[in-house]
Amino acid sequence: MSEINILVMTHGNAGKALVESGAMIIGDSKNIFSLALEVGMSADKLVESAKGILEQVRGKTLILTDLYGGTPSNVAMMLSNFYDVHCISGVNLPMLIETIMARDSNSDMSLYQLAECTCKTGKESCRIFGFKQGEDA
Amino acid sequence: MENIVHARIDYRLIHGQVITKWLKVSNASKIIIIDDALKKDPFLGMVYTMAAPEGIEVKIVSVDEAQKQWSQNRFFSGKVLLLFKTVDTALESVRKGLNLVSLQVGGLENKPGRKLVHNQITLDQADFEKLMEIEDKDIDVYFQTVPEEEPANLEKVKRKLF
Repeated sequence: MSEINILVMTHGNAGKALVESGAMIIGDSKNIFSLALEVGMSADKLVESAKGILEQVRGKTLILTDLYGGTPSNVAMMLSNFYDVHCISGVNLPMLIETIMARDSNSDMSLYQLAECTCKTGKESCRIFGFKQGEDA
Repeated sequence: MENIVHARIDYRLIHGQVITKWLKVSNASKIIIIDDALKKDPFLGMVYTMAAPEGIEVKIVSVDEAQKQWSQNRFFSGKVLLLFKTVDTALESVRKGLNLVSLQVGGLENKPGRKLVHNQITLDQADFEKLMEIEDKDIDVYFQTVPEEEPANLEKVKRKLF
C-alpha cells in the first residue's frame, strides 16, 4: 500500500464529519487526519496543529481544504513550502472517497497523480440532476 | 482617497469572510494590505497574494510606503479594499494622515485578558482606546463580521467591555 497520508482541513468540523461520512460508505481507512479551524482561531494555531500531524507521519501528504482563499487553504499553502504535500480545495465526499480508494489500490501512484485524480473526481461529482430538464422545469 | 470602497481590520487578512462576502459587497477590484511585518515576509505575502480570487490584485505595503503614496494622492487607484491586521497599524496609518470615512473591525486576535464584545470579535481596553482615537478623527468605527449582521458602534461594544 502506498504511504500517502490524507489530511482534511476545513472551517469548523466539516472535515471530521466528512471523514466519518466516508467511513460510512467505504469503512475505516488508515492514515486519514482532519483538522478544524475553530471560531476565533488564528492561522498560526492551525499551522501548529497541522505541523504536529505532518511531523508525526513524516511522509507524503495530500491536504484537502474547503474554500480556496480561506484560512485552512492559506495554511495549506504555507505548509506546502516546507513539507512534501500537495493541496486541493473544494473538498467533498466523492473526492475524499475516491482519493482513499485510489491510494489504497495503486501503491505506485505518485502524490501528484493522486492529486490529479482527486481534482478530476471533484469536478465530475458536481452535476445538476433530476427528472425535470433545463430552464422550463 | 475616495477609491477606498471598504476598510477593515481583520487579523486573518484575506480569508473566507473577506473573499466570499466583503469583496463582492464592496465591489472592490484590488486589495491593499498595510502591514509592516507582512511586507518583510515575502513568503507569507505570497500566500495571501495567491489567496485572492482571480482578477483581484493584491498589494502589500508598509505604513511608511503607503503614507508616501497617499500624500501624493496616487496610490489608491481602482476600487480598493483596505486591510489591516491590527488596531495598532490602523491607528498608525490614521495618525500619519490616512483619511477614511469608515473603518470596520471584522476580527481581532483573541489573547488572554480580552473580552468577547461582538459576535466573534474580542477587545481589551488598550485596543478600545486606540479605536476611540481613530473615531475622534471623524472616522466611523464599527464592528461587523459579515454583511448580514447588524453592525455595532464603539458606544455599543463599550457596554460589553466595561
